[in-house]
Amino acid sequence: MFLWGLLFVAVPVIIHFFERRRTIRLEFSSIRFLRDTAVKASRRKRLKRLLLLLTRICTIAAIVLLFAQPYDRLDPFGVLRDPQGRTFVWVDPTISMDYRADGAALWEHARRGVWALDSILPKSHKLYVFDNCLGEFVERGETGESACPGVRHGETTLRAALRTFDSRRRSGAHLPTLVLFSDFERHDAGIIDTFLSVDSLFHPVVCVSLAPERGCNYSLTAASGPGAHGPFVDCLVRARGQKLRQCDVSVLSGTLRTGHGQVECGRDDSVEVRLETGGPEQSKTGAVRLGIDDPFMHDNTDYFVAESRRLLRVLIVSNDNSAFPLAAALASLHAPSSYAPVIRRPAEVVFEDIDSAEIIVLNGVAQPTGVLRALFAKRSLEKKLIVFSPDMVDEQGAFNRDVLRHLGATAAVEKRRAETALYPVLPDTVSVLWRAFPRFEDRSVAVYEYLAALPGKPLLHLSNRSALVTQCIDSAEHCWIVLSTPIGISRSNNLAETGFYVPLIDRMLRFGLSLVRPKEHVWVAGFRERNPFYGATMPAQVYDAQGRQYAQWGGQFVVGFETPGVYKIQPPEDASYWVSVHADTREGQLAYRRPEPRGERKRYVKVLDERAFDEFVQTLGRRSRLNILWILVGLLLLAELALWEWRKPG
Amino acid sequence: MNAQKPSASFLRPEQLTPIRNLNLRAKIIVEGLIAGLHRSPYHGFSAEFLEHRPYFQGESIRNIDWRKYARSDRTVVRLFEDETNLYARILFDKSASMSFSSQGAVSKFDYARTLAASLAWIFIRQRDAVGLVTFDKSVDTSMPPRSTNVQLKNIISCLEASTPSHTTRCGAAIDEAARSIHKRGLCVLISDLFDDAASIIQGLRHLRFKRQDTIVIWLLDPMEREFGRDALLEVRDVESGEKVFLDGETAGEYYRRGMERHRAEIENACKELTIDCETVITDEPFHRALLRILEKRRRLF
Repeated sequence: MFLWGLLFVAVPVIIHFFERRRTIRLEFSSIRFLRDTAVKASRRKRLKRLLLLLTRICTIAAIVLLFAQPYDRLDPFGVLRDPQGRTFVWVDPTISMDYRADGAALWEHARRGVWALDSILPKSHKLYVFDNCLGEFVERGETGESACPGVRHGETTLRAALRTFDSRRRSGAHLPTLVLFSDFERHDAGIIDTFLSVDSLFHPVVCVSLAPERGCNYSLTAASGPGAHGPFVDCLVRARGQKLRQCDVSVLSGTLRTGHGQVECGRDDSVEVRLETGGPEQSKTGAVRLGIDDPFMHDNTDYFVAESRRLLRVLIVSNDNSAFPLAAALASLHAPSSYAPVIRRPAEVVFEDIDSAEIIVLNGVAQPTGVLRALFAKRSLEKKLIVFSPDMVDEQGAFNRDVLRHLGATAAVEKRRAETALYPVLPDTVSVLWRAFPRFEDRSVAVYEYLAALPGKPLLHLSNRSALVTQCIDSAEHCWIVLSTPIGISRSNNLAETGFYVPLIDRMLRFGLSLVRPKEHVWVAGFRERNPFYGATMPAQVYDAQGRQYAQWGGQFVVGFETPGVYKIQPPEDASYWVSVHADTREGQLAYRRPEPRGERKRYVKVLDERAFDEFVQTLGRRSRLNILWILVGLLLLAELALWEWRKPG
Repeated sequence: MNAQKPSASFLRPEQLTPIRNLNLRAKIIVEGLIAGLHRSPYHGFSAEFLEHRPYFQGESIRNIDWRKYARSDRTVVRLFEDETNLYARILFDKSASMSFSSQGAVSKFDYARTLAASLAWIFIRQRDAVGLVTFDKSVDTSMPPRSTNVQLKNIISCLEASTPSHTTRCGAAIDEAARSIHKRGLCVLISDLFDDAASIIQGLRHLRFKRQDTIVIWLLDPMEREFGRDALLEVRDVESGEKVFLDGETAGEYYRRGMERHRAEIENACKELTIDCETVITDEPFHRALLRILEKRRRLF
């Protein structure tokens, strides 16, 4: 607005033109006394008048510029001097910022940077700092220092910060400045590059890289605890940036040291270490610790459990209560995986149920729901193991037909009734699936009704050579195990009443899981995983290593642990088990990359290291351009005085 | 003779210049002037008595003072300073710079012409011989002094016929005019003296060397006395045609200084050479200008 003041420049110009004397042409008897000196003096005087006009114009312009400060507008980062401006600051909260350099953690360096920035901003300039706990920008000074810790385990909040910034930046008159303090691990830099490349608003961004110049870090990862392979703890020691000279590695069980060893490792190398410790009975849980101080301590200790338990969530979709024996059978299976079965009626199933389950059993579903149709969609879900048990009441039902068509059945579904009861017969006893199975055939099983012409590869036959169980992979890479007769309580067979039932289910699921290979459940502090007890009637209780209740896992879709350690999980109506929670190993990799803005964006993005940022802040604080303008105004006023002509009265 | 206050009947130059006949103009001025004087300038101008001496036989009896003879019975002869009338020359500057006139004023040339004609009239009426030398960069016309009425006519005709032209080389022209003078006499220089002061002084010196009693009538236009205006000026030299752009105030300041210096140099030289230097501004009535000149030259007129 102050720039309108530049119109005042017209005032001396107008005055000059009003005062401009007309040129009189005259003839004179002799210019003898006017030649040379008078001409020169006249020229000098005219030049002086022009200079005076120029000086006045410059003086007014400089005074206007002094107030308007338009150079701040030309310089994208000049908005930091704008009293009406806004600055949004994000400080990387990942634990990599706990790296200690120059006697302080990186996040402390960042905090100092924020203070320094705050100190030079005009008082009315608003500074918002992203609160990593609240997940939004909070005005600094309004609520005092945030209670949120400087660093925490888990994912970066950069995406959330950029999203929030994006929603808030359009509200003000000026584009706000975004200041990012981070060590810029590779993935962070990638996020920023993406943000800058897709961003259409050219607002100034300052990326302050706090990454150590020649960082070093030693890390330890516990590969396995004592168990079947013996009373050993296996771990991997890695040295980055500097050689690891001989140092102790200890196994701790509670406060007791149950094993120790020595380790030495070359620069940017890794060493596997096996430490003898007590057996699983003595060291059910524990920690392995590297006895050395290094700048980044979070990955010097790792946790293990002697017997890890793999808990797989099973969603049983059934119209009636006929699936209870199946749930009971699943609950009784523990090795190598435990199953957490949940029974839902088709109408009750929600997407989260399907998404969170590793195994889905469709038992006698007559009419498909919209959510169940997600199973036929490509790439909407991770790979699942789906057990299909047909509805024999309405064998021509829509869902039977849809599933079998989806799996490639060309012929119409045909229900057959056996005149004499049929029993299952293994196709072989050498395949992985049926090796060491208790019985080759079981005549106690009686199958009265079954579907003929199932698609897929037969895994189990009936005594009349028709398929009882087949397996196929669909276009979405889900593994389908299709039974020709229901697997729950049914009039079509007596499977649930025989000793064949549980081994059959166990083998089928194991075989299916070997094909699907669901992800290993590794708990990493700060990261959320699917709740294995989602939808259970009773919540599971979670306790920390000291036996204090840590959480209740019931209706939450995702759950997790905030800090590394060992935790005990008590499922409802089942035996408790321990899990180890690790620190994110990526945080100690010292893999940094600064953001690389491209094209026009470069002008608006400053990528600075800490020292350069300090200088940048000092430069802002000095307001050098303002000083130059003051000096200019002073000089112009002096010039004005020097050029001033006192007119003689009259 | 005391200097007379300007009479109300004095005519201003701008009132006289419409009279085209220079003879008539001069007559009006001179007779008006005479009417305003207490003593007639006719007395004594031609009778330049010096002394008596004894009459020698064989001499013309024309110069015998018979009255003296009647009183003292001695034949003596009257001796005059000159046998003839006063030999006067009017040096008239007709250079282009003389044509300058500021707005509403008479041009220096017209003023000078009138002044020269009036002086010639006076000389002839006193039976003195008067001549005219006109010059610009050099002597243009030279009329030897004569005391006849025809001479007056000739002088007036010459003045009427002359037009301002060429650049001033006043000093050289005076020098050249002085070279042709052989008898002692009176020189009246009418000029604006816009030439190098040293050159002018040299010319005046030469005149004095030739035993010329000299009167310098320095004619200036009112604007030449007070040059400068609060304006930008595009000044064209009427002699050379050269143009200069000037700031009026600054130019006025420099002009004043230059003019003062020039004036001081010439006036000092005149003082040293016992030359009467009269500055006449063209807005001054002719009578008053002539009176001032006559007042100074009381001895002559």
